[in-house]
Amino acid sequence: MILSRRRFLGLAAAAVTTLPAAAAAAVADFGGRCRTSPGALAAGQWAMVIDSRRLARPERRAAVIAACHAFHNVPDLPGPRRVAWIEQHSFAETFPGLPSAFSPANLADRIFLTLCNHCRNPPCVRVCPTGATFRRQDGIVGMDSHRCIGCRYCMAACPFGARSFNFEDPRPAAVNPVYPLRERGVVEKCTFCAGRLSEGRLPLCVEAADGAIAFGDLADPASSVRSLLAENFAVRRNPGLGTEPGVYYIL
Amino acid sequence: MIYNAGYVLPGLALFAALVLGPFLLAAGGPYRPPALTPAEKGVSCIEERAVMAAGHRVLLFAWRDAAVCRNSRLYLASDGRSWTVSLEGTCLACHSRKAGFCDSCHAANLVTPSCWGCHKAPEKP
Ligand code: HEC
Ligand code: HEC
Ligand code: HEC
Repeated sequence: MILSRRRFLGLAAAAVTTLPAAAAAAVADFGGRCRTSPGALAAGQWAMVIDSRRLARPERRAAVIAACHAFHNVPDLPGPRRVAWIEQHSFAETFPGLPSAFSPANLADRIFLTLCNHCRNPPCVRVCPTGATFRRQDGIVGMDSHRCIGCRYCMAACPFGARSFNFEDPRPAAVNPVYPLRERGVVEKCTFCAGRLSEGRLPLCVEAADGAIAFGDLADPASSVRSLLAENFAVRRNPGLGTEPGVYYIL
Repeated sequence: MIYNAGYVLPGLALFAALVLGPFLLAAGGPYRPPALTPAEKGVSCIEERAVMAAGHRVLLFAWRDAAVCRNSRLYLASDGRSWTVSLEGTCLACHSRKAGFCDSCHAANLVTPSCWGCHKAPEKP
């Protein structure tokens, strides 16, 4: 039998389109059986308000950092290879351009907790070539270590230095067996404790800060963060860049 | 009608022999499934045994995407039970002797999942 070229191409096209569909239909739809947990906390735009006055004592900040880093198995590496989800920075480092030579001493000497700002307009998401970092409906800038190829574009794009690269395997730091580690060659950062939110629990830093950090929904006028922001003057880091950070600081 | 059939046909035969040879030579006795350490907990797996044996890769990858990308961390199994989407917290809670279960079957099938660099469960002997 001689096939015409046109008929051969037609058959080939039909096979290429139907075979994968048939193969996909043969596999159970496991993803479709996954649901949001009933007790999960939901929001239109998650945000954080940090009362820096109440975190002025170093041991209080250390407790907050330890709670986060121990749970998420963040290693304690020295120098430029350090990995951090939540860090401490001086007034001038946290708010470039804000201090003047005459700033009050209690502000000039204050140390601030810094973490991923979960921007509404995140530059890291725009540059990520694999979709490993993405903005969720609820405003969280998610991080998928499985898709991260370690190109570090996101680190170059983030104006806040909120991301860390794993220059080495953080293996010895396994403290908490239920949270996965990361490997050499992937970027990591704070996830606003997305997994805990889906269990109906607040982020670990919020719990450890004993009231000094509020977490809630910016889209809800009755939320704790909205009432704090209505009653106090709060600043965000480098708002002029237009990334719309979601972490507010009461000075 | 093929041009140069005298070269093309033996060439094809040689190609087929080279490609299929290793399979034909290795095709010997039947596949002997490795001895598996039974699950520590539970009487049945999340889905039917056959579904798990054939499809746990697809299930785990669907779980990964559901939890990390879609924030769906509850799995409703076809028998109505629900499970937390977690590799360590769910799979390895029952299959807690990973070396004798996941690892020995993967070794027998020459599969090397790349998960264990990050997903570290407490090893039981
Ligand atoms: C409630 C405990 C439990 C949980 C949770 C569980 N399993 Fe199982 N699993 C079992 C038991 C018991 C069997 C034995 C076969 C059966 O289902 O009757 C089994 C069988 C299997 C098999 C087939 C082994 C064979 O004999 O071919 C695979 C593969 C498997 N499980 C993988 C997984 C994976 C992957 C997960 C997580 C997504 C998981 N299991 C979660 C209890 C569990
Ligand atoms: C009965 C044998 C058997 C057991 C038991 C088993 N696996 Fe597998 N696994 C396989 C085979 C065969 C493949 C490759 C074929 C496939 O993807 O379905 C595979 C593939 C995988 C993959 C995909 C690897 C990749 O890179 O594509 C993952 C992940 C995985 N298994 C996890 C597990 C976990 C976790 C357990 C233990 C809870 C487990 N398996 C137990 C046989 C097994
Ligand atoms: C580079 C490190 C890394 C590798 C490699 C990796 N994971 Fe993950 N995985 C993570 C991290 C980190 C999380 C937690 C994300 C979260 O909860 O926000 C996670 C979460 C998951 C989850 C959802 C919840 C949980 O805690 O189990 C599944 C399922 C999963 N991974 C499956 C896999 C499978 C299957 C493989 C291997 C094919 C794999 N992962 C390889 C880092 C990794």
